[in-house]
Amino acid sequence: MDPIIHQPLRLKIMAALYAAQQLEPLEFTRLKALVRATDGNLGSHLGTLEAANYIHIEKGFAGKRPQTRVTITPLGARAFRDHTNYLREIIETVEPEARGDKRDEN
Amino acid sequence: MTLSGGEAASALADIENVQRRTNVAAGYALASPHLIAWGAVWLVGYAACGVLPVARWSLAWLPLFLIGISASILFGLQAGALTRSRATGSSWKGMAVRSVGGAIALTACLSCIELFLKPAGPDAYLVLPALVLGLVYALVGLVTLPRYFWIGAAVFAATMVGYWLVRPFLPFWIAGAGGGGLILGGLWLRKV
Repeated sequence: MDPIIHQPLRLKIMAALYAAQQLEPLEFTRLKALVRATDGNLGSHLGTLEAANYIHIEKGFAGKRPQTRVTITPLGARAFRDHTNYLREIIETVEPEARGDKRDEN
Repeated sequence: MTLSGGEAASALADIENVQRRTNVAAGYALASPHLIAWGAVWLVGYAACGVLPVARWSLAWLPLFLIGISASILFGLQAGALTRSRATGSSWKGMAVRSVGGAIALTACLSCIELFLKPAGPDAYLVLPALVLGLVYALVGLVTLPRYFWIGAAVFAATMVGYWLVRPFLPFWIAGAGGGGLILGGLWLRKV
């Protein structure tokens, strides 16, 4: 399990960035709406993901308006894939066990 | 630390929800300029119908239709240039093909209806494309992109209101309510 990605909001951030990786970088306000986070909360978790080199944050201007754009890095994409595979493995392991338990009860 | 099956399933459901929202938002962002361009075409086309004799309507619409198709292709190329370094290009190419293909299919469908069913008078010719387009958008909204439902429903309702209440100014009403509605809808799609 990846402890950095596992945190619920960071997991949502990575999911959004992974889905958007073939498009333009996600702008901060758009990302905030997609993961339904507050400014402060999102900023703090983006910092953690950036420190792990899972995302790249680009600060610039759109006209006179400051703009923060976020993309997932190849390392982040691999970590996200590994984490989702881990989650699927848990479910695949639990399901046969649950079926076995039901058979035992019958 | 290990996770239970329930926690893993919940995390995967969260991932799926966020990715669905992201894909829908990306679809809206790609569709927005197309809707604005076709809204402008609509606005000018219907306004032209208000000042030109009925016999000249098709002459006004033909160049506008070509402008709309050209704009759709251009937006597709622009989106492709923005995403070329990262993407396979399938999303923007798909959007351009769907936009142009949709416009051609809609025109063919309307031409057939007009040919076989012969709408009763110029006013019926004016409202028919608006009603069909409103219906198509509403259906697209029900199937895949929910905001299209409201755009389609608004165009449909505005057209009916115009037909019943503003008949003497019908082309200008449809130009403003339909074309303006599409432009506003395109701007709305930019907001997540």
